[in-house]
Amino acid sequence: MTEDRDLVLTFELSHAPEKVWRALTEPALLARWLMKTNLELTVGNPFQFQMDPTEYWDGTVHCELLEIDEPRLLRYSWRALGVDTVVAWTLEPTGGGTLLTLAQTGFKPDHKQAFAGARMAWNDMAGEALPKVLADIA
Amino acid sequence: MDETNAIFRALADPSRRAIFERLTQGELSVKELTASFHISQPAVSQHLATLSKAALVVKQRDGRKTFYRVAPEGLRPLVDWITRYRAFWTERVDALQTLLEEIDEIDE
Repeated sequence: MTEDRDLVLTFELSHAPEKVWRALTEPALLARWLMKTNLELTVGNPFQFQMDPTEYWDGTVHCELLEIDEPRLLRYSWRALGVDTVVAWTLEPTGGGTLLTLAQTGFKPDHKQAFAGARMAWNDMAGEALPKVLADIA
Repeated sequence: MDETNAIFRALADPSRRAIFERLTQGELSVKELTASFHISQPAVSQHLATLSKAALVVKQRDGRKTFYRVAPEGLRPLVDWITRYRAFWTERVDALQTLLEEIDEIDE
């Protein structure tokens, strides 16, 4: 029995895995769709994703590269706002592009404790997430 | 569950939701909220009372002024990290798709 919960999302992209791989691993490209980063493709290497700091959060996501299998799998730890998880990107070629799977695992019930102090910081990070969530529950 | 119901009810109203979202950006007085929403001060006060009852906002007195801000644990019964990360990644991958199109244009 486990109390962990996972988040798994799949996306169909109309671009080849090699190209998606570049966007997932090259800091210059990562900065354009995710966050600034000092990622180097060496397993065991600690690195960070960096957002602009806010009053409530220094904007740093602490990571460590866990596994790399170009251009199929990229896995790293992801620690931000008191929540410790692992993010894994899986790329599978399809007829015209890539089936991209994101799995974020390791959420634990006690992560809710981190929620209170982090909510505003998170709001800055996710931008439109709060309105979306609010629209969903209303 | 009463707590959750109160939150649902409080956020079901678009004006209250707008006021709540505004307060997530920082504390404001009733006067400041009234000015930015173009609704009457009594209406704003009424909305704040409802949000306050649902423990979504808290008020703080500073001299003669009363400020409202988002309660630290306000939405905790309703949203969790998975919900937030789902929205975050979905939005980010949207940006990734846009970027992939742009790389095409640069490469070609």
